[in-house]
Amino acid sequence: MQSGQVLKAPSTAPAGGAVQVTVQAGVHEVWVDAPGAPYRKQRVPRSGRVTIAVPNAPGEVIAVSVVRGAVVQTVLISIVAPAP
Amino acid sequence: MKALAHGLSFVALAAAASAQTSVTIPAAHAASDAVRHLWLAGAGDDMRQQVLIGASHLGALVGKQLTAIELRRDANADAYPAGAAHWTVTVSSSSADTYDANRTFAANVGADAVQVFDGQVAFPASPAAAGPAVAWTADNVVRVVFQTPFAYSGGRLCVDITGAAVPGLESYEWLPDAHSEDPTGAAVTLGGGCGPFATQAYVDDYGLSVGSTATFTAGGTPNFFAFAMTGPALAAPVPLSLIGWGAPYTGCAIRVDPMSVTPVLLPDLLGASMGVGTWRIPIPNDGALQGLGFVTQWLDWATRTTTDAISWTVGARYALDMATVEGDAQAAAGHLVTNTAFVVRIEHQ
Repeated sequence: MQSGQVLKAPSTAPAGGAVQVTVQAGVHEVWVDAPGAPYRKQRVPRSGRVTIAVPNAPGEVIAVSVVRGAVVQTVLISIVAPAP
Repeated sequence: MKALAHGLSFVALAAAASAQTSVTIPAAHAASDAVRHLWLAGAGDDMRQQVLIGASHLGALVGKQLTAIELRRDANADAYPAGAAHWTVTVSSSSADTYDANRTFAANVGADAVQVFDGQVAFPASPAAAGPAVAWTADNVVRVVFQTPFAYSGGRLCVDITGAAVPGLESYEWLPDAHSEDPTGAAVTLGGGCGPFATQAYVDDYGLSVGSTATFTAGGTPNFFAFAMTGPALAAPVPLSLIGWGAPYTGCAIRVDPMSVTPVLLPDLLGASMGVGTWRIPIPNDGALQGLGFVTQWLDWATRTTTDAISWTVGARYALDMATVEGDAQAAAGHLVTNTAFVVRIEHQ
């Protein structure tokens, strides 16, 4: 688990699955940059826990960011092959 | 005589104990976990948090001396490691409504502001707490006993916390409990976008409520301007090329009859491939605005393309009657939310 002031996420996620990111601040949206798709903004449910679909792209990285003013905080999640 | 003295001491202690009481806000979560969590200022980074509490929660505190605050941990399967931060806490009151809160920290501070605490605050090692009931025990609570009590005489209360990290004592994992409400407003994408940023238009639907701040975001050409066009929906989409912009047959269509056009810079905060800009509209705390709606669509200046248009409607003000402003410790303004706030216990006498 990697953790910063705003985002908390596992360092790896299984390809083709999903990953949960905990948003610790009161922000309502995160930016998701996943391989094979344009940047997109994803709404944070009121639980503060966002579920992000993981593309089937082992070896690639998902970037999840929160933008607050001029400050960007990002966590990187490596996509790994699912366990057999 | 000695027995009488003992008896009097007991009576005095009992009186003191009964005089020191507390109020939990929101009251519905006095014993049970609320749906959300927030972070603690200074748990890892230097941050500032303002908790604004509406007068509707504070009737029992009018005329009392406020002597301490407590924040209870969130219910979850994680044990929290111990940590600490340096906090400066200022408390003030104001006749303003909670839903007239401001992103600018200074605007929320009342004229009667008192610095009630300055020092190190302990975040206790806390075992996992599955919930839904979480007790206000010492290992579940961050507690601040005021060095100077605050005399509360009514109105909105502002608890203003500036937290500085203490090297070696960071505790990013320590998440205090918070309540949060679902959005009351609504937004629907109408289409009309084209080009590389066609879908890069967003609205934070949590902000689409009376007394909140509507926040619109667009992605576009980095370090150029985009224009936020807002007004009623057009009866039928108009090709962008018909008003002299862009080539025909691109699919770019204007969906809004703009009452306002606002330029917004798109700095390359997320990298070189796309700039991001934000436009905010404070929605006045006026119930008559509930149900009002417009359409917002962005025009990317550099590529002369449009994003999808978004139709949005203002919803009812939140029932929470609390607000949170959070941001960098040195910043003049932070991020304001009116649907989310700590579960906080205030002691008084």
